Amino acid sequence: MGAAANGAGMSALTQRRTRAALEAARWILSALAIIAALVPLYLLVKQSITPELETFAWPPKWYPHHLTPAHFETIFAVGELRGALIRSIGVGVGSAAAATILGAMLAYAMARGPSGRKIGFAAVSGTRLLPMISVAIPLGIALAMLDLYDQPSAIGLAIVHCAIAVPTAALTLYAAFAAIAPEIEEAAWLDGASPLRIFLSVDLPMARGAIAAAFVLCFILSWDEFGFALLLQQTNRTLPPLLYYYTTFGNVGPASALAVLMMIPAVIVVIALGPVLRGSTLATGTR
Amino acid sequence: MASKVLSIEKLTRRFPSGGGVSEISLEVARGEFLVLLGPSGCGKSTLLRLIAGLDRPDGGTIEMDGGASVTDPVYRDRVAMVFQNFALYPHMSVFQNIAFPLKLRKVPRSEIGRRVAESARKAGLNLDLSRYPRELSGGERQRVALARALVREPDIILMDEALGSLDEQLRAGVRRELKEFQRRTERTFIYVSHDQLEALSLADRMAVMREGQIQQLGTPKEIYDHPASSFVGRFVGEPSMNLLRAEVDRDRLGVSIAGVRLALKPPENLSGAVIIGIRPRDLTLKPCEGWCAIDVEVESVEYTGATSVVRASMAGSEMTGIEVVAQVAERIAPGENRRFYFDPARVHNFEPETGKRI
Repeated sequence: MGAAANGAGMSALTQRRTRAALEAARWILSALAIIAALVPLYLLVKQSITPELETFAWPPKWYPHHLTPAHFETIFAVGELRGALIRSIGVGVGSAAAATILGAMLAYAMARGPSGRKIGFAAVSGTRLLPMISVAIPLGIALAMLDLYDQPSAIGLAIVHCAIAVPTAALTLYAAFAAIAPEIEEAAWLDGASPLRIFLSVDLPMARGAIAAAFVLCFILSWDEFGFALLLQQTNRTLPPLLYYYTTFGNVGPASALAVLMMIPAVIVVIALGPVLRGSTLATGTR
Repeated sequence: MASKVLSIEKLTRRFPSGGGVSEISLEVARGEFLVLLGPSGCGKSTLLRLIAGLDRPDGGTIEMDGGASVTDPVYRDRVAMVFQNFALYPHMSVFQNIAFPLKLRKVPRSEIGRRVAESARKAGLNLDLSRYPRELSGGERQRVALARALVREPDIILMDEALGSLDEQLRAGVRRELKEFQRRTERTFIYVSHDQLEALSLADRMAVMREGQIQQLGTPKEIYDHPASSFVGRFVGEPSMNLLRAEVDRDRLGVSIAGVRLALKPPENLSGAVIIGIRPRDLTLKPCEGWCAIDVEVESVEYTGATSVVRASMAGSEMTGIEVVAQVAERIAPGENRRFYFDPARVHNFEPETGKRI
């Protein structure tokens, strides 16, 4: 009796120890992951506000000693920056909005019909399997023929970014539409709603978290995209090629400042849509 | 029968994977509570979805009184449905859920408020209408679904196992409420169920279905007292009816079950075999004048409160393992040898091949 109680106590203790060890391991791994993600960002921000001498100092200086606004002044003095910033925002928002709308339609067809699913998945994975840059030259020629090449509005680039982003948007939204119970649509139909009304009043609001997520993903896809931006906007540049020029010319300070500047809109979008994004991960069980 | 609200004729719907319904004809009276009862795969849900217009038949017609066919837009206005999972709109408040059908019909705002409140009251919905479905209990969600179905004043309310997702304790109460709700609103209800007790307690009339066809249509009492087939006899009533295969004796004065003779007069003009059906509660331990008797050995006893369900095997038969189930008030122990008595007038006779009542 006493021995049995003792044995039970031991196993409870061992169990508690194992759990504590697991918990500790989880914390350490999370901390490492966070450090790995944040250290480059930290260095980037540090480089953007300290003189270049400090950046290349040996032994390395881990925290800023002298602060300077010089790098930001340099990039703001460049006449091209304003245009590139506006162009990047325009291409990002425009292509993401268009890709989300088109992707939502495709995702809905994929979620609601067996033939839609087959065709949709084939189209989505087909475009994803193709190395995008292999069609860059033909695309450039096609855009030139349509007089959309290197436009100040960057509309040609926006069209290309939209085409790249549609599969991403469709895959993100497919899961959300598939999770909506068909009975809810049937209930809405019996309540007197037309198919379009059902899509607008029932499916879209129920998938709003996924729609926000798709928009953010598409926006960031466009915001970061370099290859097509470099090729298709030779003179009317967007931000990533601009950043590339600074880096290749060895101007680490201004390049860092521009990179920090580029992070800001992406961070704003993610934070602004944060509540909806979190809602979508919490409320996937829509039944 | 009161005036009919819905007529169904030779309705057929087949699925490539099997199932569906074939050649079903049915008339539904205004204001009645009709239950479609059957095991899973019998076609009851298919029939309900066809009546709702959610699925199209391969053949046959469904017509509302006044001639509106199921494909007419006006038909849809006159039926409402409560789904098994209630299918509430999760992104809308309770008020918006109930108001949705009215908003689609462009009913003025003031009238929407009035009608939502009225139908919430009728459905017994006693809560803050600005709450969301996810904050409600199963019983409350069901009432919201009922209120939403009622708000556009349909002729027929269809319900698909709508109590199935509630827990046992809640169901009895909700069942009573539902019946009360139907009486108060004077709507026609068509309710799908696989639970015979639910069907017996809710239905004005019930249709027992099997393999895509209606085996019997009648009041719960008709179906319980005079099952049209051995299937219906066994499906309705708990514990299930005993079905025993018996040979008609040559002198036609009795029948034998595996060599055990019963003084049970066989049905007229029948020779050969017969299936005799005896409900467990018709078997007793007390002898009565003119009753038949079976000797059994008790195998297991399931105590259920007022009565016990006794499983026993027939003694003295040529075959072993012929099971007889009885529901008795007395205390019995497994292993005992007992004699069960039953009134010959309460025996149901069925044809062995077709299972039809004789």
